[in-house]
Amino acid sequence: MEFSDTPDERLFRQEVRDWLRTNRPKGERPGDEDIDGQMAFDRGWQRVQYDGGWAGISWPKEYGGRGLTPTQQLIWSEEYASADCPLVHDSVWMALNHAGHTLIHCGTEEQKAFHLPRILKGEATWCQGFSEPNAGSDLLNLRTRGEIDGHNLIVNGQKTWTTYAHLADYCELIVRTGEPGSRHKGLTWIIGDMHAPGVDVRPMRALDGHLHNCDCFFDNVRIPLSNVVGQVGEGWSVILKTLEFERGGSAFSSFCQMAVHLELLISEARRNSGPGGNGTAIQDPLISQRLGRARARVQSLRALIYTMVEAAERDVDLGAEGTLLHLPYTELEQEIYRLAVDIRGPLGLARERGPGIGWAMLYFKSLSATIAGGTSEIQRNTIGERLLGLPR
Amino acid sequence: MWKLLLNDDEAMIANVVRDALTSELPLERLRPNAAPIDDQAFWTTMAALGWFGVGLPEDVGGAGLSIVEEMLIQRESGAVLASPCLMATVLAGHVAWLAGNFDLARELVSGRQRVALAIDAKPDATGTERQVCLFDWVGPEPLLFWNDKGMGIFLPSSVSAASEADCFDDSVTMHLAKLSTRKPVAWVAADEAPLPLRAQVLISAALVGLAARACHMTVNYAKVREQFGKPIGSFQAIKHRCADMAVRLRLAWSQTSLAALKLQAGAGDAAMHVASAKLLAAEAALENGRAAIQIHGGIGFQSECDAHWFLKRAMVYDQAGGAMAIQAERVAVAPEMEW
Repeated sequence: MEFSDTPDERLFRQEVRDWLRTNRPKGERPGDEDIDGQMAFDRGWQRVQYDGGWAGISWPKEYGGRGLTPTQQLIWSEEYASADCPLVHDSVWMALNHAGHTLIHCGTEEQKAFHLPRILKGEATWCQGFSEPNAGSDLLNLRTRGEIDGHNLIVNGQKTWTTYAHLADYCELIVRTGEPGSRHKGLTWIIGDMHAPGVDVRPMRALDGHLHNCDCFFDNVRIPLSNVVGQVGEGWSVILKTLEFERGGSAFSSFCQMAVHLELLISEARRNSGPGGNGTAIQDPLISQRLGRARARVQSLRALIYTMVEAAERDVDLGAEGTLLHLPYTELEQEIYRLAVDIRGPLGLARERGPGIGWAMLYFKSLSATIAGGTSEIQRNTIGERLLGLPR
Repeated sequence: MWKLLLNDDEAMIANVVRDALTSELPLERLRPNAAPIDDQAFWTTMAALGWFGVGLPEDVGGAGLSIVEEMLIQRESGAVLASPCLMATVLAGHVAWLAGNFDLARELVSGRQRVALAIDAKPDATGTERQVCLFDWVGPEPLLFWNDKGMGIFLPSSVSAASEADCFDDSVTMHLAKLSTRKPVAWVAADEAPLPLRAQVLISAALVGLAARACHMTVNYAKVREQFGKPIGSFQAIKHRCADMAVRLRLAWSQTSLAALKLQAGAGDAAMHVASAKLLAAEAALENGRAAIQIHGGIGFQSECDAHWFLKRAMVYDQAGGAMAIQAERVAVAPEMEW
């Protein structure tokens, strides 16, 4: 254990800080109610990062990325969040962190040459076609069929809760090419063109009133076999690669955003009155204790992230401990935004308008965090079985 | 960057300490009708192993290492329910050394002088006559006492009206007493050296040790105890509680480690990190202790099952230096965090 603040790290932090100060978007990112404006904003911002040499910061240099070390990625995320840069969590993000990561590790040279530059420039957007009506937590129960027909795969079936499918050009599509019920055998990971004939995308309204997720119907959709990532029937190993993203740098950026939000909330609680209306919110012992507990948890997650970064740099395998972050992070996120709503008292029941943070909307949106990417219940199973060795 | 993984030397120290403590202080010693253990003989062994001076300079007999090694020793001591005198003596060594009382420092490091822990029973009260709770105080030893202003060592002559109390944690003895803080043997003000924060880190480490042992013992039990024809650990109702124990433990340890390094580096936000560590470590030990009893079921409620020790000692350490609610408020009012 030690604190080592190397000159390289300090220089890098300064470089990031200077670049973000000059180049960060000046205007406000459009909200979820203006999805087209938001997309245009996100693509534009991605292009600015690309032109500045900051696109794909965790990608290897040979694929046009910045090739940063895990420490540098974390520094980038910290500076990005504290410079109040927008947290882009959409189909551009999905393309960079999900699809890009998978293609770099499992794609063919042709797939990489075509897709990676488009992703880096913000020109191509992606969605994740994993979940189905009967394959949520039980992902291996998925039934969307893929039948080989000459040089094509004919896809029939339904994906659901597909985030940003209505904004995506491509889909990380998992289909069953093997026997029905063949679980992790007989799956194929294929790049689906969301504009192809036979693809029907129907956005659903989420509980926060916005369009985040979609039903996607595939009716005899022809996809060339050259779009298969990995081998036909070997999709499971590619899926595992895709899911790795949560342990990497992309998890840090949303964490840092949450940490910045909590600091904002604490400074609001110092200025504004509490739910009772007497004194400032932080003078209310219950509010201040909840703020303190949340802040302590944020610091401890940061400490855990430091450990993950150090392990990645030293090539230490943390094993199942590497999966531990997601559960407390997503539960804490909900706790913090809920506290923010409570601090406002009855006034917090109205949708906020105008500039500033819409705490209630963040709270409702955060309710998806303990479901997407493995529910908290599945996370607890994983920790119990893989980290603690409890029987299934 | 803050590097929190143990290096090879640190991991070796932790292993050596754990091996020595688990063989010398088995939990079985605490069971009803167990044969008493020669505590003083082990005290000499700990001194010979250098545990009391691990973070002190060599000229007073120390090993010249850091708070990291001290923290590892306290973590392992927590896991075996060692006497709070161990922690108090380590801290007293720092007080004596920083106050320039090198003879006393050598006595403490060598194991010839033991010090007992005093917790301020009414920290908000004013005055130099403090009402205190003393732990494992046999009578002749000096006491370690601290508050926000500093930390000091006091002779038994500063103690009055001592009466034995019946602490529900039967692994320690407890006295209620009055302590006059007017004549310390040695006193170090908090603005000269942040010893109160160091104490909080060491207590946090001991709490992490309690949380860890409670978690491991419970997980092992859930793997072998069968009901409905299966190990109970296969049921999600049990598995998920175990997962929560592991998460609390991991986060408490990460934060305690970070707090130790922040303190060592003299970081501006060290106090916030230390209070965060104490809060999370107390919560982990209290909650894991409770879960250990619950998951052991009927046997967990019995005194012959070791589960209850973790909860009870966690309740003692939670009170040292301010309980959870106090720590939470300290964290909340601390200045903006540093990146």
